[in-house]
Amino acid sequence: KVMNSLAQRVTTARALAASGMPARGMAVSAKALKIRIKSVNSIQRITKTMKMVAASKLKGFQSKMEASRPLVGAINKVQNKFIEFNNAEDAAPAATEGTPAGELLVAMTSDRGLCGAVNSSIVKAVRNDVRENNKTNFGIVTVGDKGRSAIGRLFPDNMRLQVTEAGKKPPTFLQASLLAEQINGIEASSASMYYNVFKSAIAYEYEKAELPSRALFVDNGAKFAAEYELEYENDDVILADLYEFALSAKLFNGLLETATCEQSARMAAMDGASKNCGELIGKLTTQMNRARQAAITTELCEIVAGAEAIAQ
Amino acid sequence: MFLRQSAGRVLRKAAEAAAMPARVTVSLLSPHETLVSGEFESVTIPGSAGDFGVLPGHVPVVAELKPGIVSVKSSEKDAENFFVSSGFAFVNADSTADICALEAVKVSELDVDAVRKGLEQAKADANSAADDDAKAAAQVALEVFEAMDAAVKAN
Repeated sequence: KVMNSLAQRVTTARALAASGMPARGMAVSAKALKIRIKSVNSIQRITKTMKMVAASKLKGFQSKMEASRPLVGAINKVQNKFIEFNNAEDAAPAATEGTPAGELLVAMTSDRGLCGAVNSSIVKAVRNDVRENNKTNFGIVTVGDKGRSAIGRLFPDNMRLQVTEAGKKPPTFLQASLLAEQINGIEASSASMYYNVFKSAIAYEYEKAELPSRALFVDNGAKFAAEYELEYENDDVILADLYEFALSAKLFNGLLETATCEQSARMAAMDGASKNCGELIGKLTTQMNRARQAAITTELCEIVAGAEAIAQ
Repeated sequence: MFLRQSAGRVLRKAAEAAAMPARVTVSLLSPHETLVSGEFESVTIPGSAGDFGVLPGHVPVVAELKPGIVSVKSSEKDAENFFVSSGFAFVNADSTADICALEAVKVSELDVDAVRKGLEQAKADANSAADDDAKAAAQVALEVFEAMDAAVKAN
């Protein structure tokens, strides 16, 4: 609710200042401008606070994300081996019975707004992917309310799962595993994750990553076993377990990167908003001073004219 | 010609010697921190099929972990012990071992009282479990706490 009124007040203040004159054609009074300046000032205080909060959260999220990278890197190394085997010419044929189950698109967005273009870039990417490739057999998983509302409006019949409150605190591996379990329960032949990768405090990049499917690991198990000895307690369970671990790790990384990008984008957006407020305050102050001086001049003229009239 | 032949032989021997490093590069990783990253003489890993030791030149292995102790030795007497809850260990052909654990902690940092309490709670839960899901969860907890208990006692 605070967000909506904040956005509205900024728009209204901007529109009023741009128009300069009020609707009725009367001179803008210094008093009215003073009230407007006070309002923009309070907005600036809010945006500055939000920037500081986002900056401090960013520190925490970023350190957690960087700490997770070694483990995710190790798992990616293994997953890439399976992908290598899968793409090789003599790869084992995929087991296809009946109609293919369709693909799953996992969109990573935030719950709250005022964070720049992080969410719109993901929504656009999903929309373009579906439209350009004329996809019809697909399901959508949205993480974050912003994605849910935007993508839900675009493809209401394809929504399979909606996750919320993922970016409030740094996501844990447990949460990622729970999400993996849910996603695993949805029938799909392949899955991809659309998310923003954190490059620096001022830069992030959109990326589409392939999420491992159970088939990727199980179908290429023989080739993998030729290179690596598999030590396991129960037959075949190890490949399925490895798949689940890899899926959780990939989702964990996606959740962390998304949450970190949200904070950095919000910090940049609030910084921009504070600067804009500052400029607006400057413009309004100048206008107010001019109005005040004009009022004084008018009064002086009246006094002088009156004095002249009496002197006559 | 004789000089060229012997030079070739020397180079080949040097290449073979360099092929097997003197130490194992071990990384013990959890989702929120890197506990070990360095070169060691050997590392013992608690695989679900049994504990196994990794020396340089070990055959590549992918092992699912069971709750137990990862022990990195920088020399015969100098060993550091870590308790891991579960995960996977990948031993690669270049004598690097990546141990990806869900939870890992130095055994010396385990709280003996908390472990004992947890073990008792897990035993009680396992006995009173109502459905299959609860029973399975309780069984997992019991395994982990029993391993933790053994680790703490052995320390």
